[in-house]
Amino acid sequence: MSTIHVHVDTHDRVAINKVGIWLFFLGETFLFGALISVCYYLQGVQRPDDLDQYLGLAITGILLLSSLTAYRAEVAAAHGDQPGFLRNLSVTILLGLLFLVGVGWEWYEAFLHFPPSTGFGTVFFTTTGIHAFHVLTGVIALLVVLFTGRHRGRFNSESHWGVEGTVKYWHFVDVAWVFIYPTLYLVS
Amino acid sequence: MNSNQGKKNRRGFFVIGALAVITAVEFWVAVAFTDITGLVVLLLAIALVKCWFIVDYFMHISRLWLPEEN
Repeated sequence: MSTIHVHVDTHDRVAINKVGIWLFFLGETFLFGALISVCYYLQGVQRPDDLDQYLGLAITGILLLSSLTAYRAEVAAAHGDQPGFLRNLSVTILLGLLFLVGVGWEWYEAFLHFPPSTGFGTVFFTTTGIHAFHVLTGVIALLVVLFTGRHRGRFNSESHWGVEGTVKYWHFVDVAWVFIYPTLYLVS
Repeated sequence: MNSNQGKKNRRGFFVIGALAVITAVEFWVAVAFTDITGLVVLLLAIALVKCWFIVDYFMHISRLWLPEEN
């Protein structure tokens, strides 16, 4: 049996990776699209008065801010700015953890006012739970990138797909929240 | 930090500033609007604008159609 060797250089591999991650985002868009549709289907435009609007706004601000620091970390990695990369990535991770604390606090309040057995509780806990799981996996991925990129020269202008791909995922998590936030908190 | 990096970082601040303003407008719209159909449509439109800012400026979707830099 003959063997065919296909040579794929680094440049092509990164291009393939980019298409792959956008296809992954497309699949995830269907997931979050379905969740948001279910919110409207089950709950219509009625939302409980007990929702903490200011907490919702605060965690939205935290996640948006984390997108800026993630972007700055990617830019720093692409320019070989090791201190900037480590600093911005660390802040992104901290903001991600702060977002999760905010969601945890929101869940604590939600259990008191609209538990998962209620209509709104079902869509609220499912949607925020799946999104928070994405944030958690994003934080873990960012920690891996931080750990592997702690040595100078690991990521540079020629090779930083590890940072770029992970940061893109982080931005996608932010995009998902951009649609979840008005659906759960503002439509009423 | 070289000038190119500084330019990209300034772009980041511009985008986050725009997102902050749009989020404040979004919150105000939710408080001020009473017509529920108009509110849902408007909030969806605002979310799409925010999404475009993130996807284009932060995720560089437009670069997918550009030739790769060597």
